[in-house]
Amino acid sequence: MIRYFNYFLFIVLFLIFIIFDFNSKISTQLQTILPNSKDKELLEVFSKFDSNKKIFLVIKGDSKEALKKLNGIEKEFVKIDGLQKEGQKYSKEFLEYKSRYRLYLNDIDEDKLKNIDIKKELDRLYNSLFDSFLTVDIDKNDPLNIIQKENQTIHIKNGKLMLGDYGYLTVFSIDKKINSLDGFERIYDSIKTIEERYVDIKSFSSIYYFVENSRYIKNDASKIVILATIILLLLYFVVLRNINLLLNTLLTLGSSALLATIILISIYDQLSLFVLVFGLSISTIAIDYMFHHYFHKSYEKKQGFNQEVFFGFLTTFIAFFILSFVDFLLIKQITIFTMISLFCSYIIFAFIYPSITFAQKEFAFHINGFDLFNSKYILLFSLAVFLFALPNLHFDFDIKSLDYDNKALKEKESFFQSKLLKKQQQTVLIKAKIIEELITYNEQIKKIDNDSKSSLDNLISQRKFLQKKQKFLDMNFENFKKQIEQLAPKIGFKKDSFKEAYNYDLEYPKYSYEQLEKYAVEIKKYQDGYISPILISNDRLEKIYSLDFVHPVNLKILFEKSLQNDIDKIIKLGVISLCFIIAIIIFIARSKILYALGFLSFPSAVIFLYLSFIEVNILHIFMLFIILAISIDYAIYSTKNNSLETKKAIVFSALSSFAGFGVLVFSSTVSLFSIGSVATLGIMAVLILIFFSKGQDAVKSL
Amino acid sequence: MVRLGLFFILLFVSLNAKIINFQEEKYIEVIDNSTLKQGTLEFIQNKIILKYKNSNRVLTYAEDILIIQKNDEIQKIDLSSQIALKMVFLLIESIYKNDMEMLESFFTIEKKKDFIRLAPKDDIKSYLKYVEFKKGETLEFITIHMTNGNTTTIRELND
Repeated sequence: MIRYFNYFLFIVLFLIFIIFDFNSKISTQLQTILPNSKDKELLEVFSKFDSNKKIFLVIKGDSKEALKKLNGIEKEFVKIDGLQKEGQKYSKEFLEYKSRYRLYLNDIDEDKLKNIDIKKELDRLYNSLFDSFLTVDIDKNDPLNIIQKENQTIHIKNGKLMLGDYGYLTVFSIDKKINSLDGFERIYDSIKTIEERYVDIKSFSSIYYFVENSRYIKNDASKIVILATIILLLLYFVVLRNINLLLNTLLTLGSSALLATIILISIYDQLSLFVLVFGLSISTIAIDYMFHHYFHKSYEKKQGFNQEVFFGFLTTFIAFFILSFVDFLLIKQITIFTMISLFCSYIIFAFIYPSITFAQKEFAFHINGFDLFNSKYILLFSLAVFLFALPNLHFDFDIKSLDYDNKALKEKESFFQSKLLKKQQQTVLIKAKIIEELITYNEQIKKIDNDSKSSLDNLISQRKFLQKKQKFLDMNFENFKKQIEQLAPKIGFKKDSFKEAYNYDLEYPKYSYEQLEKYAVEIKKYQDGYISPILISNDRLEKIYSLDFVHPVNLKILFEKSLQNDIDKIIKLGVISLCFIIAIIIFIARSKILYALGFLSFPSAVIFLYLSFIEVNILHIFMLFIILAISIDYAIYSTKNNSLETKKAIVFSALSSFAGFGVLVFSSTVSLFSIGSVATLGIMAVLILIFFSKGQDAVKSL
Repeated sequence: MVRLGLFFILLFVSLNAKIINFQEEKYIEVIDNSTLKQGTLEFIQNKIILKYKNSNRVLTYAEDILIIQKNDEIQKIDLSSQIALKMVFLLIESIYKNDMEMLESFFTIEKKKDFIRLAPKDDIKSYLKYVEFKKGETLEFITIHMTNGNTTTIRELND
């Protein structure tokens, strides 16, 4: 029965995984790896704002033919379920409010007002009515033209919105109820089917990133899995020729990864695909426990407890255990995943496999070893590389750069942005307990960045309102109004034509949440307060971020912020972990300490050398730890027992590790490539040590 | 040779141009009175030229720009800031050219017994109440009702 243990365990875990729908809790979204914090919650609420669910459609050219074509395409777009054309933005109530409070919402031309001749101005207006053509454009609220007009930032041609000078633009919005990737995919596919038929149209939406990136990453990950499987199959079929061992090993690694995934999702409710891919790769470290036992014939005949493997496992496990105290979610989740899967694999490889039994097939595998490098020179070389590389490291903690580099979509986004925005801007959220406070905060930001844009711009705080009211009183607006009312009929205007003009004696408009929704203000209730997005200029970012009511929704900033909070702890725990590893190696290696340390220093040196020429991201650093963890095992095995079997075990384990995460070097997703590149270099360095270093009791023939 | 070329261009342009005489009646709410004017509207490809009788002003609407010429004085106005006026030009042009597709993108078209009524869509509603027109061989009338209470009626006049 024990022979089928791996099959049984895997089926049970797989059924649990499927029945409890753990699959649906694996997220491809980058923000999943952000620590659970207020900022992450805000980011999730922000993603539900309507402004994030817009689709921009543009047609090249400003001819009427182009406009007609776009009108036809619009009809096809609105047939897509869940998509509607952005229609009337402002409600009747809002337009009435805006007209009523125009004096308060806009600035007035005080210079003109100081020297104004009311009669002359009204005369001029009266004459202009007769001189007008086709229509009369008269503002009854501002007959003297002293209220400053709002800046017309949009360009309209033939009554249609234009995207700069490129062509006509139409904006669509996605139904509020559609928030899932499935829903976005359905809309995306329908749009792309229409788009394929027209060469001169372009569309963009931030939801395209969700769809395209998640599809690309999934596709990329499956290709990598296939490649890794091929390498493993070659290794087992051609070299080891032991299909039973392969099946059992894959099942053990699979079960360990499934167990780790189930436990992690149970703890965190959602798991990023990045953690999963990374964790799955790390799980393959455990393969060296199997190889060490296998080549030392522990699975053929009864042998004692294998101390080398136990120490190797324990050191790696404790190193990850120390790192698991980090608060940074990405690292924490990966370390927990690793501990669970390594523990599970070790138990099975060390205690179950000897009972299943696997006979070792003989195979000829010779290599001419070169005692080229002495341990001392390896350490000296490593030291020299560290001295060169460390000052040359450049870090890039933008997690967006870890995502699939969707160049085509990024280009399209910057095309639309450059034509829609005057300058480089980005969105932040402001949070306040009451609506009044939210409006005040927006006014505060406006003082720092006059180009900031918000739907709150159409509202006024009570403080500002009262200040303005006092100003109108001081300027004797009452008398000013009376003069207009008296003079207008004498000039020829209908009585009371300008009754509503310059109406300063108003009550403060009390804004309720429901009212603001009618005013198309982007506002959401959040916890015991409210939030609203604001577009701010990039050159004012630093100053605006220093305000405590401002919350970033930029992944790079959020990631850096959370990393900044945890960086000291990460470094501290990293150093403790490293000291622990070195202490264990000193304890085990004793007189062979230089040789053993070579397994830590040489792969690290090679990796550091590579990192000194590129932008280093968080995954490069973490992968370095993984390589160290693998190297500890090799250092312990080699110093305890530098036999032919040990070397065989290390070589095959290194090759398996390459199949596990070295193959990620073929990925075009930056995060996966980062892991793959560091892993490949580290594994190559280990193989160089095995074949070319002058070890004690070195064996030249495998 | 150049003169001959210019002659043909002018001939082509004039053959493609159509001039109509019109009467413009405007009710202006703030004076509770109407004004009556007559003039010509000239439709050249992508261009409308407007002239009033007893006035030396020539107004040319093209590419969303209005050029007002008075003797030697030329004033250029970007109609992006005068959306209502821009819409009126667009309406006249589309109705004159029977461009229902263009009208449909801004209005809901309702066919009444004797005329067509256009109800504005979207944000146009904020300044345009509704439009009514009747056009057979000639343009019988276009009446534009603005939300500020003003009304403009344009009728094509027989020569």
